[in-house]
Amino acid sequence: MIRLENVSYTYMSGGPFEKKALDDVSLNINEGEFVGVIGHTGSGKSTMIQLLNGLLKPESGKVIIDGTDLSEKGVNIRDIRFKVGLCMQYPEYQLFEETVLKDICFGPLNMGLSQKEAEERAKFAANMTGLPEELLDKSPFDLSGGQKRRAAIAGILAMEPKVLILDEPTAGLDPAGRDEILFKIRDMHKRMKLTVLLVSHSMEDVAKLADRILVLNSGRVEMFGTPSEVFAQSARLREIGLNVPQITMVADRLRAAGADIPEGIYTVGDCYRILLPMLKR
Amino acid sequence: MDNIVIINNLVFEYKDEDTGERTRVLDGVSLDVRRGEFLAVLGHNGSGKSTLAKHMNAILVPTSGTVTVDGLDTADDGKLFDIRRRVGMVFQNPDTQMVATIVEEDVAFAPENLGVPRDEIRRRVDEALEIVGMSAFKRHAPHMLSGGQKQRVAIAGALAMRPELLVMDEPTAMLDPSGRAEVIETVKKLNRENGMTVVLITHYMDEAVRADRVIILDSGRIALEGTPKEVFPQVEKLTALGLDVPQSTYLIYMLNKQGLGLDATALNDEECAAELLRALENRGKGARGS
Amino acid sequence: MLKDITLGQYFPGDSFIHRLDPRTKILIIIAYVVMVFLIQNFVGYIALALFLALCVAVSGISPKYLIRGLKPILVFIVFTGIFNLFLTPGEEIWRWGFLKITVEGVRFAAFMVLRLVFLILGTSLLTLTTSPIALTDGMERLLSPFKKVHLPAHEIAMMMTIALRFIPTLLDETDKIMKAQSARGASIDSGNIFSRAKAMVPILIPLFISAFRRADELATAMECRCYRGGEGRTRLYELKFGAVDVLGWIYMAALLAAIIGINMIFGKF
Repeated sequence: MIRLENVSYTYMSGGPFEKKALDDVSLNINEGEFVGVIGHTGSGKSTMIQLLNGLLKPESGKVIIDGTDLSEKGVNIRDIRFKVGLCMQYPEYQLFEETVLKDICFGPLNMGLSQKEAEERAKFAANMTGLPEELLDKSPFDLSGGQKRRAAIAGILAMEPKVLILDEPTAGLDPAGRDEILFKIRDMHKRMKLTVLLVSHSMEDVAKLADRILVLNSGRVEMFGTPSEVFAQSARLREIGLNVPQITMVADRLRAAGADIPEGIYTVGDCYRILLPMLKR
Repeated sequence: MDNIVIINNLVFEYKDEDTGERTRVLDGVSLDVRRGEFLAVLGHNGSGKSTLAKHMNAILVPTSGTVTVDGLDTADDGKLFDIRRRVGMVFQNPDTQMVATIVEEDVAFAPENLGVPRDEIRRRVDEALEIVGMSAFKRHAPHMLSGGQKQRVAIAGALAMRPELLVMDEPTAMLDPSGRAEVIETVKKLNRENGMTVVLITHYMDEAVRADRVIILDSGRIALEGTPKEVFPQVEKLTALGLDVPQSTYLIYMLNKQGLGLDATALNDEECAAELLRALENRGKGARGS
Repeated sequence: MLKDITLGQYFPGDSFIHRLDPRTKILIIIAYVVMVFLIQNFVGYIALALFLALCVAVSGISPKYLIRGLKPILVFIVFTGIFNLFLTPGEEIWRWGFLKITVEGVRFAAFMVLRLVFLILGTSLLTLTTSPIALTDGMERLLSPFKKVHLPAHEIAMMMTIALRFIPTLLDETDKIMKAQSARGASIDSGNIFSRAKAMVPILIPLFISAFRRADELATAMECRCYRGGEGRTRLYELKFGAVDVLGWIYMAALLAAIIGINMIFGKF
């Protein structure tokens, strides 16, 4: 579904503040996959996701979305943006319409859909994000923080993209709000058969949801594998300045002290299932 | 005096301008902040945490009940600046707390407002930047700093008032993990080495476990209070209040549900691993013994 | 696209120009602006160009960077030039249909373009060598005699400081919102003027809302830091005139005399 071939990108190239954001990145993401993207600030995450929907153009290399090479002549970049829905960080700051419904319709109407179709899609998207129908006629600015976030995500979802990219969708939310959004994202992924890229700082969140985890470090792919493959290298993750789930650290400590615990533990449930028989013996 | 802040049965309501409806945000909070302690205030969004913080330096005044800071009643208008001078505030958004276009000028803002003599301002600015480890950046423009650095400058800006108390309202909510670690280390150091009283409002558990005392707000009331080791093992209550539990605490809670009788007060990976190893060792001995 | 703006940027340094008191610099720039309009012949502009070149050399600012500051208003300069070139009545030297160029037109166009270029270069040099806070401090002090007639000098300076502080933040924000809306298929840079204006709505509304929110948060933060207006405020940096300032005034006076002299000797072209 998504293929990057030797993609590089440099900010302010030629100037004194030149900064290589992506350095010869190649990767493949399959249709319907749920990929967690991790890396500290400046690792190239946000550059990568902007390349994926044509907001930025690669300096060299190819970005191929659903078989279309974005750099080819005659490719309508807007069509790519509808195909690859990008939900930026703090998306609630992009709300502008009089009502929530109108705001969610903005994307679909830009696609050239009829008012009726757009509204149908908007209602479906609102439902997917868990936004109650009675809020749709309200002003988006009267919603609570978590509701605004959901309205903004619905605005992307209503374009019915094939790929949904979410940049820190839970930033600034409290634990309950965070869990609700993550649950809804998982739901969308399953029910709409979306390919999802979830960019997050929180290892715990990514570990819970992703099929595969992509770890970026100073513009390069550091790791790309299943959560247990990635968390098996917890020492390396910490070395490049990333957190690992607390439970992985507990398991690492136990193993270091000689306990028979496998590598790559990343959920409390797994750790519990391994420890319980050992302790109950 | 042992308590820097004394809050007595604080009630706060605000009136909606359009509908005239009154909403009660704080509903009878009584709380003392002890001199030199590190107090964490937890609660989900809308629980009244931020409102409580804003009462500690008279940005808000109680609808009923009293708040005194260092013996001064916050409802007394004449004492406004005496109170604010004693309470340094740091907020969530690193971008909306800085006034000046250069770091050291920004740190100087509060002492300038207070009419502190020039030499003294210089001393305070240098000292405050030193404490937060930002001296090297004193001639930088704020917008060139990272989020964590901006928040450290904001802390320095508060410290330049020489406050008795530092109140921080979700100072890490908009930061990445390294920024969060920077800020929390700074705060912890301030508390430990400089004896600064700290009130930290947060919804990150890993930050709260490092406090001396934790209070949890829910619908404008104090729902739980105690040391982290008293509060966090109450997994069911915390979950019901919409809060997280550290994964270590949760693991032990689940194991204990199977009747393992582990020490439930483990709050971090180190303590949790130590407790599990102790239990594993005991099992081993028991197995060999029988 | 928004990164080209050099006006309002500051390059720290320790040159003669950097060390001048901001009040001196503001007074000099006022005199400079007066001169730009006072000059009546090209010899005067040569003198002014020499002065400016000297200042740039002393300041250590790269001339290239300074000249790049003209880029954003290049269209405006060209337009002014063309407008004056074709529309000034007088002695015809070239004609094609209704378009005609006159001797007066050439001269006038050249003067207007020179004036604009000199204005931009001079003021850019001021902002590049003076920290915004020093600039506003200087303004505040220069305006403070007018407090007696109820001119809020401190408040004006404070507003300028905050505006300068938030320009980079708001530019960032604009960039982010534009990207977010283009991700929803908004077409910002295509279509006619009318549809482009309409396309600005999804950008301007979020921008205004976020500016108001920021203003509100900033006001609270300022209150928390005991802000209560200009009354009784002290400053980390007090402004003091030094020997460099006296030198600065002397140079300026000499240049002023030279320009007036040139005007008298060479007359009006």
